Order: sequence, then structure tokens, then C-alpha cells
Amino acid sequence: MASRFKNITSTDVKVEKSRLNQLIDIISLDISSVSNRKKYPSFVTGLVTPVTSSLFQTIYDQDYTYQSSNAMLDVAFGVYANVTGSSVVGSELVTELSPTIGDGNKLVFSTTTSTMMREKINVYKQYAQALLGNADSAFYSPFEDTTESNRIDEAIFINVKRLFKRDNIYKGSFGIKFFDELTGFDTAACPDTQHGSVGWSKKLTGNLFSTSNNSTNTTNQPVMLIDKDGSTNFRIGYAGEIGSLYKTVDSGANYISTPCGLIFYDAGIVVLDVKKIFNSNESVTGIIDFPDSLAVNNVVFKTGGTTHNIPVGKRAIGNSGSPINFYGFLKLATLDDIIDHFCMSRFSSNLTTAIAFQNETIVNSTIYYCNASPDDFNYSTNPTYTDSTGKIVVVEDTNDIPFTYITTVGLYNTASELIAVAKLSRPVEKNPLHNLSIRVRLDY
Amino acid sequence: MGFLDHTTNNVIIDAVLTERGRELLSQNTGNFSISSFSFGDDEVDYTNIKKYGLQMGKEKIEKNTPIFEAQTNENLALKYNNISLNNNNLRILYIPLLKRYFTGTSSPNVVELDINNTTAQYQTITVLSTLNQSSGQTSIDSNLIDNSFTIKMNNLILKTYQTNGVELVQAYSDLDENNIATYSNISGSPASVASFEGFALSGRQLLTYAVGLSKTSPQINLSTFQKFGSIISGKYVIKTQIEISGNSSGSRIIIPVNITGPSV
Repeated sequence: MASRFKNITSTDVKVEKSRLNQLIDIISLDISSVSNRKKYPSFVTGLVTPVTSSLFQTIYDQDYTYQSSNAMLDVAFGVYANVTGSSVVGSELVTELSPTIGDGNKLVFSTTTSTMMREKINVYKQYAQALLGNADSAFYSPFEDTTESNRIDEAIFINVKRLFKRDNIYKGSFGIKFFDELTGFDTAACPDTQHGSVGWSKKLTGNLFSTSNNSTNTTNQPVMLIDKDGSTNFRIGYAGEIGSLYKTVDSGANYISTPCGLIFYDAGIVVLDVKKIFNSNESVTGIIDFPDSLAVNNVVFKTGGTTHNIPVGKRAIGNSGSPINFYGFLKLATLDDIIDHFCMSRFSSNLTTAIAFQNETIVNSTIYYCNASPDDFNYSTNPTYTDSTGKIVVVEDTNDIPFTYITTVGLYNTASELIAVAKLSRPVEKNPLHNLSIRVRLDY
Repeated sequence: MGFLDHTTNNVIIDAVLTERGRELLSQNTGNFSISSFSFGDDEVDYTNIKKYGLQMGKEKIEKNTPIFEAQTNENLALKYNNISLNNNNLRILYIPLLKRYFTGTSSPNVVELDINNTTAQYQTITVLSTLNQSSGQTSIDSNLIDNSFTIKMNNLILKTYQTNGVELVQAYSDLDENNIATYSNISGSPASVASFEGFALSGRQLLTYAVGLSKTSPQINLSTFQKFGSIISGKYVIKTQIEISGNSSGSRIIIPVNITGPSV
């Protein structure tokens, strides 16, 4: 019986592992655009004037309501704090608020001076649990450092989604570009000029939610954080390989020696040290969600400016006569407002690259050596191989050398079921005068 | 698709799993075990050799044949296998053909079935694996005798029947995503004697096979006709086909089937 199959022996099979890299480029507009960020309002204040917020937001590559959109990043904010005996240690955001310690070491904060502080602490603890193995641990940058000045007390967490991270982020390839300083805190850009007709859309208000940072602003240039030397200088911890992020203001010509963040390559998570990347004393202005139960009328943001009536559930900060710095905002603001601020004011609304990295996919391949000896596969079942009488068209008589062409390789199991197929780029001749070896790679 | 390195006769190309391959991999029952390979030449038109001569014909094939992307349907991915003969020194000139065989005077090309007529809901098909008398051959090479056949047909419409008209519950060996059922290893019977075609031919094989309307799981019904049929003379008509191939020769025949359904 003529045979269509040839057995593959164990010596015909080899396995190999290779790595595939893919460059990912996330533009600023995708991050700063409100329509690209999905919120999950799961937090509601239990007060007369409820305020809702997410615990994190997801950034998509286009309007997230489109079916074709892809989730790229999750962004969250967390604060480090722990109860030690009868005292609280951790971020000055927490210690300055002097929370009382309730049952089960639960911290109790004043509702008039802060919002969502317990949630901010819990977010930090969740990341610490996942990345450090202990919810009470703190992130340090450099990773192995234990000095308080290098402890990341307030962190912005950026999770790269699996679609873009793949198996891991390639070491030494990560960079993020953002504005470390705010624009808009001057009389010309105060809320008076931006508020107006859009009513209480706080997203257009003040430098907290300004989208005026862009490449044409020559007075405020973005900084870059890069995991320089990441491929040669990294640590291996509870959550895999870890690199440090260094700040540069001149595109890598010079770096600030102390790292200001961490990158967990395997988890695809970036931890940014807020106090090192932003100016905590910078004055801010804007209108935020806050569970104030009384409306405040005649608020003026700049001397001689328009008066505004702030409704319940909102609070004006940085208004005339009441300066407030960035840390004050981090205490008062909901997580949604903090993430909104990070995305809207720290990234420009243009098409420049904001985050770039290479991901890595580890590919396990099995290579099947399909060896056809001179006598194999020299005839075909192709209908054009014979004429209407059954005569083979490629030979005239038995002295001619039969031949076929090969365009396809099929791999079969023992039940002769076709379970994989491979195509050549052009037909390859097979005849009894030579053997043919085709290597077929099956990737997993 | 892979690229050929002209400096060596060693080619490396990427394979994709077929739907059946993925199914077996997901079942994790150990059946995903690659044990053999086969070559195919689905895109090649060998009539170029006749049209342009050997050298020019080869050049036409090698340079002008577009190669399609790999398909994942296991029934479509590799249709025409290249075959090897057991006798390495053998040179053959003929490969058997499959042709319909009729005992009576009528020799309709199309199988006509009618859901409205209980006597026309199945039909016995007879196919010969043979050579033309004009070939001058008296025997089919032993490598190419089709002792068994493979039959493919739409499982939503057609089923195997016994020759007495009873629908046969026969497990197909494969059912693909398009509901094409494959029945493998259907035995043929020798038909060497001259009475079949007027000349004796050693190795000629006869396949007698009954097919009919699918009446069980699934049952052909109005919605089947509405989905697959067209309206001819006020009735739904489904045009489908049965594909039969010889397991040794690889030769195949496609038999058209018309099924008349209910009135519109």
C-alpha cells in the first residue's frame, strides 16, 4: 500500500527555548485623556454628603467604551503606615493627621482633614503583600536599602496589563516621561479662567487637573525615569527580578544618583516614590471631591477674581488666602482625584511617548525534522497529477524520473489525525535523486 | 509560511495547530503526540508540465505558484498528500481513478434525494477504483489498490444508510467545525473481472455505500432547508456533495447531491 505518512522518531525531535521581544510605546494622550481611563467607583463615604471613588483606574489605548479598546495599565496610589505598639509609623501624610488607633489597630482619621486614608494605606499593603511577601513591609528605593529617607512612603503603582507585559518586562528597557512640576499655578491659569461655562467639571480646574502641560511649554520640561543598567544590575526578591528607576532631566546624559522608584520585571509593576519624583511643597489649586456638607459661597481663587459658589460634596483648595501644597492635596483627595491628577497634569495631552519598554515572551519550541529519503513522497494525490485516464502527467514512460512538489507539511498523531500544519513559501521539488529535510517548528 | 535558505537544503518553517490539534491538546489525554508527518501539494497545478514542457513547466510551478496561508481546519489544511511507494525501484505511470459505477442504463451524475418521498430519502452509490481501458494496463500496482475508502459529507444533512434503507448509526472518525463528518476505512471489495467495465483489471475495487437524509442527531428539517437551501420551483433544495477518496491511491471523486425539501 502506498504510504502518505512517514514516522517521526525521537531522534527527529529537538526542543529549544527562545525569547521574543516586543517594543511597547504608550503615548501621553492615552494616559491624560479622561475617556481612556476607566473608573470603578467602589468606595462611598458614609457621610451625609457621599463622595464616591475608585481604588484604582485602568488606562486603555482608546475610549474604554469601545469594544476594540485594550487595557494597558492600572494606576493606583498607596501610602505606607503601620501601627507599632501605640504609635503610628510611616508616611508623614499619616503621622501629621495624628489618627487614633482603634480596635484591631484600625486607624481612625478625621473626616474633615482627610479622605480615604485607610484605603490609601490598604492599597499600599496589598502591593507590599504581593511584591514583598509581607503586607506590613515597605518599599525602599534602592530595593535593599532600609534607611527611612529611601523608604517609599507614598507610592504610585503602575501595573502593566498582561497583553502588553507578556511574560515579563525586558530588563533595561523601561522608561517613563512625565512632568515633575506643575504648571498653571499663577494668576493667569487659576480656575477663574477655566471654570466658567462647564459648571462643576473639576477636571478643568486649577493646576491639579490641568492638561496644559505639553511639549510647547518651554518653561516646564518633562523628566524621565529609566531603569538604567537594568540588565546588568538588578535584584531578585519575593516577586522576581527588580530594577531601580533613575531620574534624568537630559534624556539620559546625566542621572540623579539615588533611584526614585522600583520596577518589578516579572510582575510588570512599577512603584514610583512620590516624594522623590514630585515637589511635595509645590502649591496646588483646584476643586476636589470632598464630603463637605455645607456649600461655601464667594470663593475667590485669585485676588480680584471671580467669586464661585462651591456646592456640597466639593471643596476648593488653594483658593485665595488658603495656600495648600501637594502633600496637603494627597491627604484631602480621593484616590480617583489623585489618579486623575497624576494622569492629567503629569502627562501632556499630545502624541509624544510617555511610557516605553520592551516586553518579553519566552517561547518553547519543538522542532520536528521531517526527513524524506530519496524514495519518499515522489508521487502525488493532487488531481492535476494525473490526466483523465489516470496517467501521471509529469512522466512520459517508466524511464522518466517522477517528481512532486511540496508546499505543505502536516504533522499527525498515531490516529493519523492532522494536528499541525506548516506552509512553505514556494513549492519545493521532491524526486528520487535527492533527499529533503524540512524542519517544522511548533511553538508553545 | 517560512522562507527557504538557498545555501542549504535545510528548511525551517513554523507550524500552526489545527482545530483538532487544539482540541486534543485541551483534552490532555495523551493523544496530542506527533508521531508522523506528511507532505502535501495542494496549490500545485501539474498540468503546467503538459502545457509548457518539463523545464518551463517546472519553472512555472516554482515561480508562479502562490502558496496559501495555513488553514486550521484539519479537513482543509492538507488535502492532497504526496505518497511513497513500498517498492523503491518501482516507476509507475498510472494512478487509479475513482468513477461512479451504474448497473442499469441510467447514469445520473447527481444523487437526487427527496424528503417528501419516503422511497427517495436514501440512495446506494457505487464507486470503482479503476484504470481506463485505454491505459492498456491489466493490473493496478499493489501499492495503489484501494482496499478501503474515506468518505466525507455534511453531518447536518447526510448520514450513512444500510442498503435496505435503514439509517446506520456509524461513528464518524472526525467531525470538524463545519460539521463535515469523516468516515475512514470504509472497506471496498475486489472487482477485477471483466464484467464490471468490459475488461479485466487486477486490483480494481468496488465501493458500495448508501447515503440518505439525516434523520437522527441532528434531524434534517425545515430550518435546515431554510439555512442551506435555495428555492427552486416553489420548493427548498439543498445542493451538497459527498467526497470519496481511495486510501491507497488518494484519488477522489466528488458526487453532487440535490435534496428536495418541503414547499415554501
